[in-house]
Amino acid sequence: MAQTTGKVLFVDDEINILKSIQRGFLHSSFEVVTAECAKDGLEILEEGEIDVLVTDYRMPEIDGLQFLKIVKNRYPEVNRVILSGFIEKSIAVESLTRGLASTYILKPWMNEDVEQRITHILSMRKILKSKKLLSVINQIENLPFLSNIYQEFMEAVNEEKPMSAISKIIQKDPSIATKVLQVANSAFYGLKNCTSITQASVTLGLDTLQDILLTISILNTMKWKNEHTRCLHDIFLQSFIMNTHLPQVYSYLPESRYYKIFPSVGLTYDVGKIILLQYYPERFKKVMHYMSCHPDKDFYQSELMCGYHEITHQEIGAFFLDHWNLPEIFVETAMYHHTPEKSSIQYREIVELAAYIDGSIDLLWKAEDIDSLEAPPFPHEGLSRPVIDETFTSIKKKMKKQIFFEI
Amino acid sequence: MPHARKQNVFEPHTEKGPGIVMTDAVYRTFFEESMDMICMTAHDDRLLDVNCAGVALLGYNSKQQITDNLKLNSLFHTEKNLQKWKDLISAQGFVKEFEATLVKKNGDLIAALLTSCTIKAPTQDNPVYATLVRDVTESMRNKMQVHKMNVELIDSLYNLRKAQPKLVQQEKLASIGQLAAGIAHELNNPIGFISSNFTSLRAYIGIIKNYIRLFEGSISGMNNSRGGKTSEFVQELNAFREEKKLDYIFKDIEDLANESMEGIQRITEIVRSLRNFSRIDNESGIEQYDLNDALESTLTVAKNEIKYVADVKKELSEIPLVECIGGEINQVLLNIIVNSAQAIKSQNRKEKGLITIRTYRKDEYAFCEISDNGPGIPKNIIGKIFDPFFTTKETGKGTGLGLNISYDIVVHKHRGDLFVESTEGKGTTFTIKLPLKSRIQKEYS
Repeated sequence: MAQTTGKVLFVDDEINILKSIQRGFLHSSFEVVTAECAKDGLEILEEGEIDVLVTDYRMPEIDGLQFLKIVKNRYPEVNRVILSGFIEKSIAVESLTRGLASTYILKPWMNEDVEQRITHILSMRKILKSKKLLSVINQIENLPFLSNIYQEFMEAVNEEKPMSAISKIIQKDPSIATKVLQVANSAFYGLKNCTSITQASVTLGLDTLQDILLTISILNTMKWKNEHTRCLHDIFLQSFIMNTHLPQVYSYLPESRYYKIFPSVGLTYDVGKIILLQYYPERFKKVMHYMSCHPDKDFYQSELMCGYHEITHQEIGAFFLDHWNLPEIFVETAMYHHTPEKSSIQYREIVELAAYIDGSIDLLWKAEDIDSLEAPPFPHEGLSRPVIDETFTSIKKKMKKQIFFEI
Repeated sequence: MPHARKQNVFEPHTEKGPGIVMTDAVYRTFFEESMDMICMTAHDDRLLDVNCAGVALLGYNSKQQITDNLKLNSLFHTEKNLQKWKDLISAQGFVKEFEATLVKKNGDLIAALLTSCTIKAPTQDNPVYATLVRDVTESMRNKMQVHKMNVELIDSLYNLRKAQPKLVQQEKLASIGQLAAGIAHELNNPIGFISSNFTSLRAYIGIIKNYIRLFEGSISGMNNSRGGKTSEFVQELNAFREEKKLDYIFKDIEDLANESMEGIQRITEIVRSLRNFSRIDNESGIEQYDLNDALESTLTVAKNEIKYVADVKKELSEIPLVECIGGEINQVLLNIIVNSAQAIKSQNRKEKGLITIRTYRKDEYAFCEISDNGPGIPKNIIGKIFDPFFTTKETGKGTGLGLNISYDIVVHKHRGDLFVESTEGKGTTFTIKLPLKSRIQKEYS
């Protein structure tokens, strides 16, 4: 038998569905195993080797949502997909934002579509688990670990806990609490003189809080040398600009579905650079140097030219976001923002936008006189010229002012 | 009328016993101190005198302000009202509790009852009229209020009456809306695997065709080369068989067809039930109704609400057709069955509950009992469950009309009965009793 690309477990309380799936993927590249209920599913998962779980949402005894929670806790490395005949929009969204599932598919499904999605997930996993990537990652002695505060905060937000409860979580980390107060009392928010975290949280709003928490959490995972702060500052400024413009521009696309749901995606798209700067400063410097000699090349192209084509900052960033259990869209954006054509169909639009905005930032970053520059064309017809121009002008402004935390 | 006239003639100073002399001053004091307004007017509409209560009522500062400035035509709100008073008093010499609208100094209106008499002193040519004015503005206002409320009540009653059929329809839509999600799930499962199977079947056919071509090719090849390479051909065929998992496909293709057929039957059944369930809506006429058949349809429609929370035990006995409005009885059955399932679900229990459905005939009635082993209904609310808008579900989950409408349909419309027995902690039984021969009144059908 040919080498399979992975093992996929399908769980559904309807045997006919399982049988149809078995025959539907008879000739596919991955192996199919099935279980008729969550309990049997857990037994199979216990044996290991499962790469992807595809489960129905409405099931007796343990229902889909509970099942996904259990699997996320016990087997976080297993990618989770919902396949259901009926799912409320709110539950679907909740499952995605909480990272319970990476995607959902509605019944009736098309075999081809399901196969494509699973193949994509498997190929991403293959990259993230590849020996080459791991050999790079394994040189890092202590893998940076995202503080629990961020996960706790997201749980609380998703469960719609009151602001007072959310503030309590923030207070657990003094460095985050200080930053929250500092930002809330900044000139941008009108020098409010907030003294309590709750006050500050209300002033900032949940999206900004999430941004701050994620940023500080990532920064706190590593110790920084003084000589790197300038570079770090630049990377973060670019990420903030991305974070401001990505949802904004995305909302102009027809049928934009995720812009409201994933507020912090832009912040982490270039996290690979931060990792490189911290753990591989020599490599980072070399790429930056190449880039300064070849202004027409961006960071990714420079990486390729410097011989790092196998593992770039894209894969490294994606690895950590996946390792930190952030929702799939974070991983995809980090993984493909220089190669959007390889991203999954589901997140293609947002990844394409990220690539476009990244290009614009790069262009302006290197320009001597940014005022004379005009916006580069958008690769397809999704965006109108005025939107592109407006975005470009707005990015210019942010570059000049170097404003952080502006929403 | 000599007698009446005599009463109106002024007769002074009558001794009424020791120490009591009715002097002018006594009468005068009565006039001044009366809590009701009293006034004296002349035939030419002038106000000759008014007491303190009158000054206060009309909102003037002094008696003189009134006697100097006010005339009857400006005291009365309308000329017509004044004229009527004048006509009455000149015709009969007095008026009693005449309804008048008077104008205060600041323009406010007073509702008043006027009682007046004609005083004709022997020494005078023209009569003087004495009038007692009773202010009834307040009580009038109250009366108006009550009247207004009455009108509003009648209005809202009318609106309610008008809305009732609409509410019934809405309740029906609400219950169907709740079911829609479940039905979608019920349909999407079989459609899901049928469409997947169909795709697989196409792939199978492609593979089988290719195999046959290969086979034919082999045969012609064998013929051409006179059997020289037979083992090579067999090897090639076997390799193809292996690679395309042909043995599995041959074995599976029958299952595929059977399972798909089963799915199609399931879809057909669901669609049939849905149609059955709503069929009579269009006619809403009386028909010969198979209660057992209707229960099966209702169970199919509500399957997704029930299957994860309870098993259903059916004890349906042979009963004659029932003359009734089928669509409405369907609604009642659905309502009660779904209620039972939701009651069991509300317990969040580990093992499934049980819903038992019994039908039987007794005398000229058909009975349907729907029992659950759910939480039961607390004693303090069991009397209210058929009340409109009574619900124990959280806001937005129920209209509070389901059982009320069911009651209305069974008891008022069909002249049957709907009763409930419940033991807390044990469960609840609803019994629907329907007359076999329709007793539906004309006004309904």
